[in-house]
Amino acid sequence: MNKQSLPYTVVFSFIVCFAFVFLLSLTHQATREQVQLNQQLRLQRSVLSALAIDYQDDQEVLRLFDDIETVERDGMTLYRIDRDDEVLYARIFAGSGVWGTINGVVGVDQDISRTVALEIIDHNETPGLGGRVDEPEFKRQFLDKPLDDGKIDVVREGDTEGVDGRIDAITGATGTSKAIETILNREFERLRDALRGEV
Amino acid sequence: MLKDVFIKQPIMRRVVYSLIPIYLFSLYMYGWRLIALSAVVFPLGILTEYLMEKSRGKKVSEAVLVTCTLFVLIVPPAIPLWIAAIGIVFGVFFGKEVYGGFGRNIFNPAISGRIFVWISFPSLFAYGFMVPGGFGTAGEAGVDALSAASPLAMLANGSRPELLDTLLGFTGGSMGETSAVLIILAGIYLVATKTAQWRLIVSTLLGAGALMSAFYYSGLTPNYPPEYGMLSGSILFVSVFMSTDPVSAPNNPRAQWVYGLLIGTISVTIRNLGQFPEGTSFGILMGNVFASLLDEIIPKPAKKKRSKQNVPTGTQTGAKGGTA
Amino acid sequence: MSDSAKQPGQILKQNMWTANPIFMQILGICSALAVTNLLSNTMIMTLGVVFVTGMSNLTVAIIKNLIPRKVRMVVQTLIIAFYVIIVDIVLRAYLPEISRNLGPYVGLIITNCIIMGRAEAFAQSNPPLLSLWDGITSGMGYMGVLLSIALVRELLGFGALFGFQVLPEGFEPWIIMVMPPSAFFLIGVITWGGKYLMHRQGEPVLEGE
Repeated sequence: MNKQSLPYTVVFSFIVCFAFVFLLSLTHQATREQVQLNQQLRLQRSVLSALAIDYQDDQEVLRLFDDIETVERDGMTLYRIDRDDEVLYARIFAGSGVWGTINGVVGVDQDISRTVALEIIDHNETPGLGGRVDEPEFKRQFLDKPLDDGKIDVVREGDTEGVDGRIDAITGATGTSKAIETILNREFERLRDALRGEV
Repeated sequence: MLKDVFIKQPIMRRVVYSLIPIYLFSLYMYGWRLIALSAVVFPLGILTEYLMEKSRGKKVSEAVLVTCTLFVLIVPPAIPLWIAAIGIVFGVFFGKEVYGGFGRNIFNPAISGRIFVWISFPSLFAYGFMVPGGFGTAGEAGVDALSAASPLAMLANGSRPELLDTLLGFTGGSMGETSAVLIILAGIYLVATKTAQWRLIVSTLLGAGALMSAFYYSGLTPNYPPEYGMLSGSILFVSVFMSTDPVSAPNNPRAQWVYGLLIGTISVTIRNLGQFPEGTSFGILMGNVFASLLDEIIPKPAKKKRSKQNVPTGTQTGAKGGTA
Repeated sequence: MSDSAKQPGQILKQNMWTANPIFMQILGICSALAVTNLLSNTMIMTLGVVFVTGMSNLTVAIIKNLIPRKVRMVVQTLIIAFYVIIVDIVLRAYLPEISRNLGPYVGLIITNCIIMGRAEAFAQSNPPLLSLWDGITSGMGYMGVLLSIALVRELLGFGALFGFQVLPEGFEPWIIMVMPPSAFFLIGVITWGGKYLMHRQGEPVLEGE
């Protein structure tokens, strides 16, 4: 057969494409559930962290997440949990940082008087500077932090420990610190509007 | 002895002379830190160049002395010595020697070293500055790395340094960039001895000043009044000593104007709007990148009739764009 | 470039050293800048590349006599894309964290010139097993250089190796090593060092393309 002829070329291309795409679809089907589970786990892990719930492995994440209720308020998806006689909410947020979007989850109590915890999902800040938002030292500051007049205030110097609403800025990354302040205060505002009348 | 090592370069010597008062002033300000830093930076800078030039069978240029002096004067006083060592070796090696040594480098070596250090160790912004004065003892006794806010950091925070202090140089900041008066005197000396090109100094300052005023009076950056902005940080120092570097600046007079304006405006943009507290180093590097291009595309004043055929026509070059 | 060498040993030496894809042929630089700040990411990424170059070389060599000349490149691309997507899917399913860190760079393995280059320059005119070997060693040449870059970058940028802190607590990390520009300097230094050594050994040095 003439391998350079048009019919051969068309048939050959078709068969090759078909074969490879078929194999790919098979692989895709075989792993689809696992991929979805991974995405789900990622979200659940972040929400649990934002509600200050510890977990060991994936099984535990799934189990713990069963206690969490997903609710809709004002078109926002919130994650709610009842714990120690109070109701806590977690909210996934997105806002602009210095170089790109910062995605994260923040946990608050019902009347938005304190944050429960903060978790950063992803960000594009400068590694070592703004990128330190994702480090435990920064996030730890949001553990059960009372707000000051419903707001946080990121400051560059002065005492922050034990002072309501005050968060220590990341050294050398004023932009990112301010961005976090703006994003979170906006979220608190919206949460307050959404949860009004629930007390 | 020394004659075997160094190439004699009168221009570079004059730059070193002009830096002596500034060096002495920062000796008064920071004392032994300056000496320790010099003791690290000079031998390493010269050694780097010596090793590289030896394999080419050439001698060390006196320009490396200028590079070392400038480098010492533009780093923060409390910089750890090992970081300074990395900076000077990087600057001389990657900023100069890999391009083929003196006269062939695209970038200013001292600035390359400084930028590398700044980007690598941004925490220097936080702890690098010391309270100046009294040979380095103005801070509390025994504490040598006492951190002090530089005027730029104060401006960014919304407070104001004393204008007279920034003029005379009694403020925090990098070692040698604080005293406006001494820098201006050095600039006059360099221009008078035809060591530095006045156009480069004036255009850099013009670009920086104009943009700073525009930013301030339009309300974009209310924290940076131009008179403070011009006297704080390293705008003056960089205009006099960096943008005039004969190797990395363009030769053609019109290109020099564009080059200076470019450096001034980029520096101010980064300083006032960007994440970094000071933008002059970035300004210089960006200017360096465009220097030879500017020489190429901007027509020379009609003194010599040398028609170049490969000059691209109609290329936009900002304010001074033109056709060949 | 021509590949006169047909001995496995020679192929190994060429691909790992005298014609190393990164520092002699200056191919695949983009990913060398992007994924080399952590050793574990680099390891997974380069293993992916070794797999893709090896398998695509093998596949091309097996069906090379069946491929019509007109669609040769298209078919090669298809084969490479196939293996790249397989790697991507497997990573997403079983190593989600690393897959997220590598981001788009796994998919971009397909644009890595090394793979196409080997398929076209070697697999097209050599028997399957030898092509497989050539693909694997080319991938390893790439891997070797990337791992050395990642070694320096993770050590200086994080004070760690494979995520384990090896430098003492007081170590000041070099932020620039975390960012891609530092890989430029390191590749430059590696290219310089490699060529310098080759000159001294008297190897015929392949000049850049």
